[in-house]
Amino acid sequence: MTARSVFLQLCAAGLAGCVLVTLTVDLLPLADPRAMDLRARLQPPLLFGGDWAHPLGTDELGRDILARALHGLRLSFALAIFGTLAGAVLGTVLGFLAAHFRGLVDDILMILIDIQAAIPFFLIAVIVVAVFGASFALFIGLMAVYGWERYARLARASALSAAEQGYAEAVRGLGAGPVRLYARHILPNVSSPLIVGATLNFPETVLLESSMSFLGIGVQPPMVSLGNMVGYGQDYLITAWWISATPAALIFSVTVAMAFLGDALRDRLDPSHR
Amino acid sequence: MSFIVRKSLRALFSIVFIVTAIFLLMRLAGDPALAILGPDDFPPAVLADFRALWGLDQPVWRQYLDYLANAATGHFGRSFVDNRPALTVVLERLPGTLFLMATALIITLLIGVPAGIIAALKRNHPWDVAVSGAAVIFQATPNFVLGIGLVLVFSVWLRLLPSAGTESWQHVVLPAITFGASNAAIFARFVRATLLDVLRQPYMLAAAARGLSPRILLLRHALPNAGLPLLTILGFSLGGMVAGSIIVETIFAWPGVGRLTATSVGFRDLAVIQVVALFTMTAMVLTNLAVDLLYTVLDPRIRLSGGPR
Repeated sequence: MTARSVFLQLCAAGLAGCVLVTLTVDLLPLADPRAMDLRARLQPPLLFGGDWAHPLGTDELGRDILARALHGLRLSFALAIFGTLAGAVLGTVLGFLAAHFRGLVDDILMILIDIQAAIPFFLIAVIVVAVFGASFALFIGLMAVYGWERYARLARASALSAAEQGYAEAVRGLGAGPVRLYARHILPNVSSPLIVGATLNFPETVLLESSMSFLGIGVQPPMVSLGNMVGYGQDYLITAWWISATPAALIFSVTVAMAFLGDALRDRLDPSHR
Repeated sequence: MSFIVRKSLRALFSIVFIVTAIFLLMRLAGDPALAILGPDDFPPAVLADFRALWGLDQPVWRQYLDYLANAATGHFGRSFVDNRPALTVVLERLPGTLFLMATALIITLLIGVPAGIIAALKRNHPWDVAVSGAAVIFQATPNFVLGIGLVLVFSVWLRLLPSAGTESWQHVVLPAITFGASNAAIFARFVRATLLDVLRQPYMLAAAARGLSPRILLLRHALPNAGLPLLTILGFSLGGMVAGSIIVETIFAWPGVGRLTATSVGFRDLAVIQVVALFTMTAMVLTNLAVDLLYTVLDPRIRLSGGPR
């Protein structure tokens, strides 16, 4: 076993551990992430003079950092999974529509895809929040739209080539309508590139969520996200560095582990990259 | 020739689309009179005057034409925060952002590109492992995590560099690194991949068979061919930088367009946001167009075949 594969397995094990913790976070013996204790404000972590009551310290309102970080991680994962799936569904449907109707529908969609690909989604999200004001529903909607253009491009190309193949013709000849053709026959045949695309897109969705929450235009208090913990802890960098550093370190570990695994996945699927 | 025309028309269409989308978005936000003045603070007569003043009592198509005319002549309304022209507010912040972008570009070209070349030439060697690993890490790390980390280490802990402001060259270091690191990482990975690709091409084998030295092979044959695709990614990295500037300038209290955007979102200063949106998105479309056109100049294959796709 090479050092590289050991490292990748460590990344996978760490991520699996994170997923396990987020699934069981309510069962763990943790403090209430929203419970304030003004007598225990700004307590340092264990190794820096803290005590076992708050292993990773407390924030400016005396809330337990460990509990908040794990709840934040859970919300980040949940939002990213939702955002990835919703974007995949939206993009795939649009891609299939373009492939089915071709002509003008296809042209318009391709132009929209090009425009979306040229402008970073983060900028669009910031502008939309500025116009409508920050709200959780809007944030969820933005997360759902994110990444649609990649799936749309992929689904359109796959559906165009699948429609040329014999089985699509046969299903059509047997009298199936377009919905049945695309949902029951073409989708299963083109799903693997879409699933790979979704896997590679997941870390970027985490990035979008945490960056917006950091700026204060994503997850709003009292909900906890790793991004907004870093953002609100920024004011205490000098007196209580752990408020920001703990969630920042967690985001760093998770995104880097996902990046290395995503890279390995890409290498395996496309040997020419190696 | 048709390639240039087609690309230009596409860019023009994109810009019209963006301008229209922003107009519709601003109208969707609700009555601008209420959004800007607030329903409770002003009597109905003032609101009606305001609507008449800005043409908001006109039909939507009329408003749209007025909007286009105003945009074309540089009238973008006034900032709701300090009542100065929104265009002026944005333009005076532009140099700060362009300066940061320039430093990021310098870091990218001086560190990212050479690192990518070394990684490709020393493939699977420890150098390559180190460069590729560092590139994955810096590309994956969110800007705000890197920025906070640098402040903690260099400002709070080591007390070497200031964490906010613009007074001296020391103030530039941390924002520039935060800003440039992910870009440099993207370029390093891209240069490595394209250079490896070029090194595999038959013409490289042919050139080596002609007895050219490794130096000439690299400088005259490999790098020019690998450099061309870099243009594309340069166009895309502008978008990434605009998005990144919102975060980086906020962390380091840097007086640029990015921080202006973040604070304007907080105040919901729609006039300023609208100018930022129009300018940055148009700049991105034009940059992509410029990249496409540069391609036709630099790559005869595109000029002669009528373009890719």
